[in-house]
Amino acid sequence: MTDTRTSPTTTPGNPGAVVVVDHVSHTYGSGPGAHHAISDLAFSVQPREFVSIVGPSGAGKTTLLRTLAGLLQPSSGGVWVGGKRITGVPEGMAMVFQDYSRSLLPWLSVEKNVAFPLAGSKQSKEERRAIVAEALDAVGLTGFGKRYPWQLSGGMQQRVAIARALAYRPKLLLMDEPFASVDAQTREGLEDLVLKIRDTYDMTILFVTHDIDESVYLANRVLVLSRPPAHLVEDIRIHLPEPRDQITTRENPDFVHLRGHVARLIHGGEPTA
Amino acid sequence: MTTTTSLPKVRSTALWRGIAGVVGLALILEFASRSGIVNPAFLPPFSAVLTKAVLLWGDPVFREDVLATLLSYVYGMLIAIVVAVPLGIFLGLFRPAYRASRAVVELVRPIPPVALVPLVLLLLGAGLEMKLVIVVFAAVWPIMFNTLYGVHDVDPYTKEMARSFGVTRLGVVRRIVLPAAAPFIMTGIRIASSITLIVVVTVELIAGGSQGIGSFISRERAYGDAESYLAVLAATVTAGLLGLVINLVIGWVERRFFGWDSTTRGGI
Amino acid sequence: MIIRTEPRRRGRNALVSLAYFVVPLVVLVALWQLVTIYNPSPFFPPPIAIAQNLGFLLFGGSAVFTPVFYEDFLSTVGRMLLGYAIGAVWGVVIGTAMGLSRGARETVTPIVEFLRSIPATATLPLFIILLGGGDDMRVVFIAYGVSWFVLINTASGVGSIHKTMLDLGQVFRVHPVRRLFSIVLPAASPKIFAGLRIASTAALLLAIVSEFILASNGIGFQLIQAQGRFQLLNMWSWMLALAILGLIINFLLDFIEGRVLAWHRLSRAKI
Repeated sequence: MTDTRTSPTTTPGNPGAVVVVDHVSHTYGSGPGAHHAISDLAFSVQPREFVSIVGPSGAGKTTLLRTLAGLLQPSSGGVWVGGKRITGVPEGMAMVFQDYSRSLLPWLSVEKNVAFPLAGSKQSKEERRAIVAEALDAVGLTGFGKRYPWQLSGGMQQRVAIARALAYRPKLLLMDEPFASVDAQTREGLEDLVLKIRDTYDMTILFVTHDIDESVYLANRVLVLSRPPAHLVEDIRIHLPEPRDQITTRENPDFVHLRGHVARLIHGGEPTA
Repeated sequence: MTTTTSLPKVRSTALWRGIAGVVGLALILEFASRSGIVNPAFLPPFSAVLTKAVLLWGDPVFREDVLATLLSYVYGMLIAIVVAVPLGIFLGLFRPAYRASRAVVELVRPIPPVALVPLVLLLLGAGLEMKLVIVVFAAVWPIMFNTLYGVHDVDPYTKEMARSFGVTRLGVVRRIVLPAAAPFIMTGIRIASSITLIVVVTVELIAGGSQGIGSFISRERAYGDAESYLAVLAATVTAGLLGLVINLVIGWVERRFFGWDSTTRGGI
Repeated sequence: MIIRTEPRRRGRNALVSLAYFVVPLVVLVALWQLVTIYNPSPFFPPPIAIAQNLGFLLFGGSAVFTPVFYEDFLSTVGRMLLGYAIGAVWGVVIGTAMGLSRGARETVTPIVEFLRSIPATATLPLFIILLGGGDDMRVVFIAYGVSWFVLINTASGVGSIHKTMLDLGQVFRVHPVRRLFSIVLPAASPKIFAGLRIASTAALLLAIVSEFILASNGIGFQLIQAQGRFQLLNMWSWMLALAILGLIINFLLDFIEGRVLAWHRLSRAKI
């Protein structure tokens, strides 16, 4: 049963938080074969934070993200977005999926793909065109509007997916291991792109990844999850100099220490202080 | 409990829902008919149809008809396989032959086999030969095309690899191409099987004087009374059951012996 | 958005393909013609005579088209098209419903599997008993037979849409109706189209079969007439007409597929 200590419209705990996760648990199935994916997760996210969610492979991270997105109703506990408890997909939230080849619609051009979420809104055609152009520009794909997704490389396709999320003008951006299927060098470019976007567009970003280095590099907060049933192992503040740089930040001794800490947490056992 | 099941793996909820669906439909049909919501002359009660079907199976004349249909099916399939598989292999291996044959194939294939019935009736009269000619004509296409595709599609690297080990050309065909093409041939046979049954029954329907389920249905319809309508319904249902059983058997064979190839799994 | 090969090579390829296509046909027809001259048989008229006869049957009159053209050729085409359209729409609707809801699909699948195992042509007597021998019956009969192919393929196409694509529609809060028409149906369209192709062959076949019994016009009717009167030339001419009709339908479908599903073909070629 869901927790009814606070009324649905009052955000428990942190006022002004963009996202509040209130003791959320989720179990798939029932009986002896049931899979307890996440167990009693609780945290909140402030505006403009970049939160990495990292943990070992398993159903926990994806389940959490789907719950945050409103695609999944948790077995117990609730999620508050923008001060309102969500029962479905909330407004002002966009998502970038891991599998870009399936998240972009192959029968539509890049332009039309980016404009896809806008069709229900009240803007005029010129306004939409401007938004699309701006979004493509922000991800460095100006001029690729008329191409089709399968004509682009994996990295470029993911950029289109990011552009599509941008065009939606979300307050909250969820990213589900978006760079897992992309080669290492392309990934670096995409990571910096996401950081640039966060600065330009004033967004709150939740970034799920299994790549420990990436999680520390991008974020100012890392949530480390355990193996299923996943609970929050640690909520780490990242104080690394900004703007981040692929070379100098990764050489920074604080970075090395932090990523080692996270790695130990994930690979099991308590961290050495 | 690990027994090799001949049926595809089915989730238990799917099974229950499926059973519920069938039972539910049967009940609805029965109720609609008996209560008079739907005119019973149009829709006899489900139980009556089932009863009639069971009675039919007791009738030796009907059983002979079913046997005739089955035999035509088996002969037709065998002949079609013997004709179509070698042809498909030949065309698959020799591209010029394939390209030359395409025009004829594209022109002749769209002719519905049953449209040939009037001609073949005049040529051969009503009887097994006439039926088989039409059935084989219909069944060769899917078998031949799938065989062709299977042969054509063999990974050239595999063939090169065999040649580099000193295998002769004929040997390559026998040991690499044929086994690789086998699942495709089986798919072609599966598709041809449903076509064959349909064509057999259709030919029996429209060409008077032959034996078979189709002839039975045609004869009964001509009587025009309520009892014969029941018989038509029951016989039609039987034909469906026959088709279902044949489909399941072929599906089982395909999964059991050719399931190693992922392309044949899970598809239409 | 066209994949370009060099124009000159394309031209040469096309020419060779055409040659491969036309030459064997011409050779076969010529052979047939020769054989009938030296060894005439009432059962196999010369191909040229067949073609001429067909031309006469369809175009010979004082107007451009003969009454036969309208009464028989067009009536078959008309019934076929109408039955096809109705059956296709019905098949897509039910197939989509089945594809979207796993509960519906599992409940209904055994029924569907059984019903579609009944050879569609074998249901003709049933339709005659229920609806009489008129054209309405024929259209319904054709629609019934067509719908199964479309239904099965649509259900498969819709059911196999990748989860991410469906999530996409939800995450961006796309209205369910719009989700159906701008995500579900386009994603399933390759399989739906495959079903529509098979269904078109079935439609022609069912139209002909329905004209074998209790009919008063149509290509099937003409075939039976020719058989009864031992008019082999007419029979062959109508079979030629059928072949041509089948070719035209295939050609049309190829054309439509080339336009509507270009993205599918090209995106798969890339991989």
